[in-house]
Amino acid sequence: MTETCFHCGEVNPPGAGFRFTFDGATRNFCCAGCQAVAETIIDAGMADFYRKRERPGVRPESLVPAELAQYDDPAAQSTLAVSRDRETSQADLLIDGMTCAACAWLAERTLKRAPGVRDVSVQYATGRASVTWDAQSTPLSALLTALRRVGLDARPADRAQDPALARRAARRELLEWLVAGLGMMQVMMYAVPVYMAEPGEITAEFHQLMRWASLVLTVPVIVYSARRFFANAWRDLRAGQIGMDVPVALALALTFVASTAATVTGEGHVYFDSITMFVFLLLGARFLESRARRRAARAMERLAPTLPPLVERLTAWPGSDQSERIPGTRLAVGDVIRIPAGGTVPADAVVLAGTGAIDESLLTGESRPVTRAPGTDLLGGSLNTGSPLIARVTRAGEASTLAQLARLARRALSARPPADALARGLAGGFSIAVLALAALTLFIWWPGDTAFENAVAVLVVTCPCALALAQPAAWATASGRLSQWGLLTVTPRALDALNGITDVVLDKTGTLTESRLTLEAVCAMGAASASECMALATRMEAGSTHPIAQALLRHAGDMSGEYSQSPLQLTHVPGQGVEALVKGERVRLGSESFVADLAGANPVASGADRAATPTTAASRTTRIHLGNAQGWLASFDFSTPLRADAAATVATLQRAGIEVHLLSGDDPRTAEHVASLANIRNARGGVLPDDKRAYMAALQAQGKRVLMVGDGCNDAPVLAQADAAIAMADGRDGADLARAQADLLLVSGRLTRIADALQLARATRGVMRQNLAWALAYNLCSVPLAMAGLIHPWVAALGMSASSLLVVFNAARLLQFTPRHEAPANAFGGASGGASEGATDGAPDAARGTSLAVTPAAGDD
Amino acid sequence: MESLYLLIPLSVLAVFGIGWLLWQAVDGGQFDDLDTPGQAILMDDDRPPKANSSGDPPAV
Repeated sequence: MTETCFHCGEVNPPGAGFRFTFDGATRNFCCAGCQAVAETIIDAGMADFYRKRERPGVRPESLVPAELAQYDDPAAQSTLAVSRDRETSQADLLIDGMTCAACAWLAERTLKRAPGVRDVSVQYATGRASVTWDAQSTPLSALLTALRRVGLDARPADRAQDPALARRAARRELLEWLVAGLGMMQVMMYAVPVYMAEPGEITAEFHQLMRWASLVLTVPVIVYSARRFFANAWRDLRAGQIGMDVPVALALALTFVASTAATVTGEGHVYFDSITMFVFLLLGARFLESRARRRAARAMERLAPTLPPLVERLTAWPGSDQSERIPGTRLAVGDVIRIPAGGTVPADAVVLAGTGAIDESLLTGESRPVTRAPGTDLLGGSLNTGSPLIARVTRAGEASTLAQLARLARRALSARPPADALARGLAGGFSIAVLALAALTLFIWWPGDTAFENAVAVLVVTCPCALALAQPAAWATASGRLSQWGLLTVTPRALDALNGITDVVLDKTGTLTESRLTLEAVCAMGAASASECMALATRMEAGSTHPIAQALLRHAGDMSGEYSQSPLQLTHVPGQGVEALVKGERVRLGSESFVADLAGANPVASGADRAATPTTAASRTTRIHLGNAQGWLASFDFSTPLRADAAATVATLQRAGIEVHLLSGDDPRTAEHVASLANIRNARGGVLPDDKRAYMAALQAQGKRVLMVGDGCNDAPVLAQADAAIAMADGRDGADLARAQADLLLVSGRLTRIADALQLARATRGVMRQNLAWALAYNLCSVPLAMAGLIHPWVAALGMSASSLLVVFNAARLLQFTPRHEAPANAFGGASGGASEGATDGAPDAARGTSLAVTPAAGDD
Repeated sequence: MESLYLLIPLSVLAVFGIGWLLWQAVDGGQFDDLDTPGQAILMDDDRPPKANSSGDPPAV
């Protein structure tokens, strides 16, 4: 029986374990994303959505497991690879079975050697590789075959296959671990009596019987559970490297062969208990590490758009509702599409008809839906939780905002922090040293009874894993936590750079204030009421992408009054405004002079009622007017309001002993006004980008470490000068972001996360230092003891595995990291962490909601 | 003590049996999601819960 996803209606992959009980029945989901959305909707009391919606999402085409060669089909390649220029293409590959940083290295090496490959970047954290290659001469399948040959199972990133692949890998890891655990438990049952018994208490036959039983149980552990270590070690050796799996594999092989020989001949020691315990504990550590890695990657993957495979395209809109279904990947800019209720927006688009409640939590982490009226933008990957929408595609596929963001984030993950490369080099050298020491131990004790035992103990007790895992584990977990907060790490140095920051320099527009204009007040001056003027202005601006028009549209109320229905004839005058013919009457909306040409002199002297501007106005007010031949009808004031959490963030930073500065290109009076609203003592207005950079250089000359928070493009030189840089990414498109010189991108638009990130960076450095210190101290103590013959192999196995576990657990703490907020009234603490993170984050939207309420109130006077 | 000649081989068989059961459980997806079921039990639901077994008709 095929199950369909309760949420999107797609066929569930076989064995998908995503279930949720709703209306007394267990609902199955195709993916964690659908499940999470459904839980959010139902938890928020919007369960009626599922009872009342018109139909589920689109059904996918059946996915036939394709042979490698099918990836070479030009049509398939066009959806899997991006053409860079005439010759080269770029594709993301999913690589299955990358168990360690060394495998990533191997994949990178293999791909680089393949003919036609220009550039490769492999990320251990997500099991992905990004390849740029000459598609004319080398088919994609050749690259995949090359990877298969070195034992890496790769396929082009196809989002539909992604969850199944990850699930299979997770299951395999779990089963390997469980088999080792079972083997260990039972082998111990045979081993413990031998340890406990007085000599001669167990007769030789029983002794021998238990040895054979242990051997039978150890074989699956070696052959199935431990095969990864042998495969990795063999791979390393063939690549001419000594990785951290080489000593492990050598120890396992030697002890197993020796124990088997002892069992067959009935003479000598057996170490089956040590072998099984070693494998079990080692796999346990790696299982936990890859679980932490998967979680971090999942937090990152949240940003990768999961677009619907089929899209309903309207072929003759607005003439008719005739539609066809096309694969989402074939959407082109300008296509008119229908987004069903509950459907995913397949590409960046602008709404043409309908008003939808859009869940943009993918991009902003904000789980509360936002309203999108005609003329406003939709982000690809967001979810339409309201009624169906008609929209025109503005950016499709890899050009879309979400795809760009995901790409940036992946690039950051694949570039390794310098500290990680150092640790891996260290681990490599360390492994060679361990082999040498083991040989030395064997030599010293030779031909004593315990020579072999002691040499094995040296191989087993040392723990390069703790050394090699220490940095990447902490780094990956911290990045995962940051992306849960809506902060993407773009450069590998990001976390390091955030350490020891003494000064934070904030830009004003778009950083301390919202990036978008907001309608502050509507002032009716003539015959029509404010709401009528509002309705008219909204209709005149519908479909325009000008920031002022967008601001008007966001505040569009219900259309009523005499102007709401009559047809309009619009004439746009660039730089001036728009003129409409309403029932034969000319109406103008735009600059003061433009309206004055039609309506006569402005009865209200310009700037006379500035006092009425609410104090939340944090910048120069922009004003447009509405008038007809009879006179002036209304004026509209726009401004960019202070972000709701600006003052709280500044206060948090200052409590942490960090000096906060404000630099603005706006005139000094406005800058000072904003600074006083946000409680910033050092404010400078009217500074050019070059002055900003000089200001920052002056701070740095005083020995300060400066974090710059700006809006990306125009602040690029300043961001580059700073010790660390965060760019605000809300309300910008991907192309801008790619050019930004920032270490981190703040996509959630929540400034408090900056203070949190500083705390997290400090915690991460702490964890990395603890891990390294532990790994070094442990190895320095244990190796001499093992060489002295004081450590039995099974104690060595326990100690080594416990050491790895400790490092991984220590790093995993970062995923639960909760910033301390000293202010009790602060509503932004992600205290509950993890899954409920989205639910606690409603505050900024609520704040925005109250600023919207200004409009009708102002309009009534 | 002679019973050990039977019991030890039996214990080996039992371990393989348990291994097979674990393989079934893992392959059936019982361990795929170790987080959600733990949280699902905490979820508020107004309606009285009805016992459900697997194999429900497809939703919607």
